[in-house]
Amino acid sequence: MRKNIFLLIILGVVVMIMSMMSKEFLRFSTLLESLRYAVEMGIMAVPMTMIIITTGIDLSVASTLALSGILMGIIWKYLNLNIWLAGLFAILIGSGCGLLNAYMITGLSIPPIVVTLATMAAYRGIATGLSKGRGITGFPESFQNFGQGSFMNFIPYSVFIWVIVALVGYVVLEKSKFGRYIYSIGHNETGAMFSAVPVVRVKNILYLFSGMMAGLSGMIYSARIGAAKSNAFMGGELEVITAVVLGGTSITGGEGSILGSTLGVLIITFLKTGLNLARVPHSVQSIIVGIVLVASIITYTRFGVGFFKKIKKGGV
Amino acid sequence: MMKIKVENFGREFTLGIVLIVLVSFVQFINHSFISVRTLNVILENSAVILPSAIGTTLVIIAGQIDLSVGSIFAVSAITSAQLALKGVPMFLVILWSIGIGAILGFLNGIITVTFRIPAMIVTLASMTIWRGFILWWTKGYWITDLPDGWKALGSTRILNLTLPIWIAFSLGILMIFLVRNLRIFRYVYAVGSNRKAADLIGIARWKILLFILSLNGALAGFSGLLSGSRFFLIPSNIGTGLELSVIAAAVIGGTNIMGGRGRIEGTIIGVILMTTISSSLVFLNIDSTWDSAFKGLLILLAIIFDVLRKKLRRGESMG
Repeated sequence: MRKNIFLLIILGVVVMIMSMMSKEFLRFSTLLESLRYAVEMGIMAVPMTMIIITTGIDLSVASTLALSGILMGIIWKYLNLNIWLAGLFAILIGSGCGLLNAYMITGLSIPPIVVTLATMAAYRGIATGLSKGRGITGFPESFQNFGQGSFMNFIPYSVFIWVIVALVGYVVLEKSKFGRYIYSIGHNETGAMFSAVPVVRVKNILYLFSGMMAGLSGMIYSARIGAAKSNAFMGGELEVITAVVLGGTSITGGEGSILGSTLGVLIITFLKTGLNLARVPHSVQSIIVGIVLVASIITYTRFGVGFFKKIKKGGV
Repeated sequence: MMKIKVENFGREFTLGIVLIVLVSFVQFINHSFISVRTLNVILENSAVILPSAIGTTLVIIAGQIDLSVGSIFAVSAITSAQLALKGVPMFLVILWSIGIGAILGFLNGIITVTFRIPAMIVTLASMTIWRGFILWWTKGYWITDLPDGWKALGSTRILNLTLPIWIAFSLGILMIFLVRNLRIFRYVYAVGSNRKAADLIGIARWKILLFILSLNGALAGFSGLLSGSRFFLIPSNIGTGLELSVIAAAVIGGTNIMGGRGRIEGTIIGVILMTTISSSLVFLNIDSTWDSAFKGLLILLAIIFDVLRKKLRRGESMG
């Protein structure tokens, strides 16, 4: 909780500085529009948070996104399937990718980082090979409108999906038995196993969920860009992990929240939007994001925790 | 005695067989595969990432992950090339490339040990920072018109093999020797396999981490120099994704991702195997777009094979 207060403060500072740097930033429409570009990261951050809480990691999400996008495009184009059905298929493909990860992680007990490192290369590679490196374009108007249009010209449609996913994730992680299981695995896996926590099943579901959300993001990404590309969201897995870690999820497990990760995504998005509006080059943007990441982690590992503990005890 | 030795070399042995099968298969399909030219290409592609892969192997053995090697590689390659352009003598340029890598690695290490944050998180940030820095520094332009001294490093041939091959593989053999004989590398294994035990026998864990992250930076920097010296121009996105390639090479080579176990020999063969696959795709007439798919599948196969072998061995010993 205290991490979330800290994140809200950072978010406030970011919004303040950005609105000083450019006048367009603080318009409500600008902020809402910038959310459109954060949807994929936001959606994939939800399962990633849960996975990192169990001390796992999923490096294959961005590749799964690309593969499901490409296969969706291929099915739509060459089998003449309805685009929405093809979109559903993208989610299925993503789930399949997640299931394969899950099988190798729990069935063969190979560390998640190794499995997903390999499938990251494999999924992206299959996407590139199938599409020969060329994008698939010409999606129907209605589908593109889903990614590019806004509800009453105000709230981007895809943002609704993000909100739903984040809410469901929040309820599952914080309010359900399944969520308790996730934390207990992160704290002490052996202990959890002896306390009759279905460790294998929980992990299977999490990696499946991660793939499914990556597939959903692949569909949203293709609709937003208006093309399915094999290099979609390249390097995005590390961006998602950055947002999650910035949001206070501990990479050593047992700690983290959906609210924190969502705030992490928002901080990075607003930071980048503001810097874009202020015409700061992309290179400098990544330097700033990196510094914010390392500074905030240092803050809540060393100083922040002690500081907030004092507040809680009524010392300050 | 003999049997124990074969067991010890299990991973390298398997990889060697996979490599031989792969090469014979490609040669069978396309008779022009085995040639001095192909050998040169494969070894050269291996040589430029080999130092970095060795560094990463040691970091993983110490129980950490360094994601910033690709960015350190880029910073080193580009700043060294710029120094060479300014007319700085070549040996100083080489020293710079290693030094700047060591400094950046040391920075990672300092933050990791002072704030007790996993190196993976620290290097996730420094990866972004240094990549951003080098793009800002070069404004995205490529470095061109490199001087002759620079090109000589990459194109001088001894016995038909280029200089980077000789340098990188000698370094590899040297590292095998050092890792076996220097006490500090014993400590690296100790820290990676059991932290508490390492603390109890009086190993200063922070010193080991600092050392290994700096060494990794230096090796990544040196890789950057070797890679840069092969080309007449250096793109500003050089080394993107290197961190995952070298981790993959180490894992294929039998390094345990959880730390404590791994060998330089395995990593060397892992690197060669990965570059052989990329090169053989051309000879098999497979579109280069499938490159990453094959690499990924190979890593998966290697890992699954390893798991099954372990299970089999466990079954044998029980029966």
